[in-house]
Amino acid sequence: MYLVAASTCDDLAELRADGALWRRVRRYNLPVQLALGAAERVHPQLRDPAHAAVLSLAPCWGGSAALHDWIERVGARAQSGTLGNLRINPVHTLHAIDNLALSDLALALGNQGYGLGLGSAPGQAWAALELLLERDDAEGLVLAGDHAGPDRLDAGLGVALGFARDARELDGRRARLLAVEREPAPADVHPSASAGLARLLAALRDGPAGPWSYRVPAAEGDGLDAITLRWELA
Amino acid sequence: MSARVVVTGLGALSALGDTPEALWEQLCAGRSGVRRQPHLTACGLRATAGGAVASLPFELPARQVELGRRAADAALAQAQLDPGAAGLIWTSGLDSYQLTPQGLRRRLASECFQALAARHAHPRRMIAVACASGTQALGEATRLIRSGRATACLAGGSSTLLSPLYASGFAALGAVATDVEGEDPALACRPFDVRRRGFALAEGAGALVLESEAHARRRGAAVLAEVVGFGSSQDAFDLNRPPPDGAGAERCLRRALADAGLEPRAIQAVNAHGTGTRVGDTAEASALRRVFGEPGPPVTSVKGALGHAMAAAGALEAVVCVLGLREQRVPPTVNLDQPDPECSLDHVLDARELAHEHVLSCSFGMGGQNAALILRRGDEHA
Repeated sequence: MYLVAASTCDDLAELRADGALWRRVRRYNLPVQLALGAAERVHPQLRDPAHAAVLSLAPCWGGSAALHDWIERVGARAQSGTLGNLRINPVHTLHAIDNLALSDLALALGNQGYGLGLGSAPGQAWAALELLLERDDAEGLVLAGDHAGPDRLDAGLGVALGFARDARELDGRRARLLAVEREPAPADVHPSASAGLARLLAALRDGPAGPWSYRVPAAEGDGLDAITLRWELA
Repeated sequence: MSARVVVTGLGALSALGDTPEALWEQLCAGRSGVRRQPHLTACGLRATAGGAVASLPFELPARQVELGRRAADAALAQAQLDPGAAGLIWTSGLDSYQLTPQGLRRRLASECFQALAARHAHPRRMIAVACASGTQALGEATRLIRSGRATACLAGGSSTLLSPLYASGFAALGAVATDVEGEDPALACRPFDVRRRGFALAEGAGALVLESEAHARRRGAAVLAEVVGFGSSQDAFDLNRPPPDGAGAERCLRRALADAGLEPRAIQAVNAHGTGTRVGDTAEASALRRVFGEPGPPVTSVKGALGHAMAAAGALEAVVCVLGLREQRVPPTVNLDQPDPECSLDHVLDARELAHEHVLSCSFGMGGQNAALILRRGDEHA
């Protein structure tokens, strides 16, 4: 698979500047907004986004300040036996959902291709790349968004990567993903659905022409394997 | 030539007991595991009927991990397979919120997956497509085994959303059946019935060991069933409801049939998603009629008896389908007394003896993700 488009998004101001996009995503939580913001710059570079495979990663640190506020109120009302009287903004229930980015993007693209949401466990981003390699879709899109940490609901990062089976260039060079290799190597991790993919993109920009290996930093892996991505850069 | 994929182990914890056999017997007897949930009643909620796993106290620490582990262990024990010899394709649903004296305590969904993953071989994938997750996990495992990328996988899922937070959230969305004064809570969920008013929130775990037929034969494992087809689709219609004609579901069912290389008439029984919501059941019935014609094969929804175990539902229902193939019987749709004419199908109202070779099980998730699995009768009926 050739990497043919990529984008990151960490600034909601960029999304707000696009009126149509902001109207679409404003009710979502930050990880979903940022993932969709990044995807919005990637899918137009695919030839047939309506039939591309879409792999969406659930945030490792989901939720939102509004959801957490609701949880606090539910907890208090539950203790006092008055939960039935609590009024809930149904929009905030969306912030608990883990497949929202996939659903929204499928809706926006009218996507009829293979769609899969991968869960919030660390290292699932690399499973997404493995999945694309295993399948024979002509094009694929991986998107992820996450908060900066469990107590950092004010900041986050979205990433999207577009792949194609046929050889195409990204920023004047070809980057072909050949394999995802693993060896058992338990490690502590810093869970994030998107940070590892963003670091990969930064490293790819500086990768030399020819065979190139990217060793996923242990903290951005799944905690069980040492993961190496094999690329051919030209 | 792709590998044939067979089922060699089952595990199930649900509102109808802690074993597949208990689940099967209670279902066929037409009993419901949906009860009034005291922990929801005490909170002052108006939707308090639910399907709980009674053997796991709600205050148990890391309850969501224990639930998944028990189902997984049971399936692996039946298959006589070490987890280190199998991949893990699993869903553990959404983060859950356990009521403690200090308030609601968050339990990350990933904790359950990671606890299981630590003892499994690669591939280890956590699936997240809402209520379609359990069925999707089985489909993904099937694909991996067929292609030779794995010889065996534990697949399925667990979910523990029967809590004040989700009960109030789903009530706000109008998705769950609110209490009716004087009514037995076991009657809350009525799939395909003209009086249906939403689902009953539930929890549970279903686990299946899938492996290549060659691997199973080499090990001398009993083949309980074969997975012959899988299909998935996206509605791409609306975040909160399916298209009224069930177009996305229909696409999913046809893809599963194509994958199995079967004509619709080869499906002799259907396990429906059948949650008991107004729009969901109508759309699903429409899709089933268009694919299978009328009256089509016998259709059961187990959610009247179990409630809706969300991400785990598809895995629990696959366990039921395997047992149905073994017993050559299909369980009834509990609480379906007055079938809605808009949901016209060959509904199973009482457990029915049924010679069947193939059964289709479908799951349709909120957000528009759909998944369907086709199982064939195994040749060893252990």
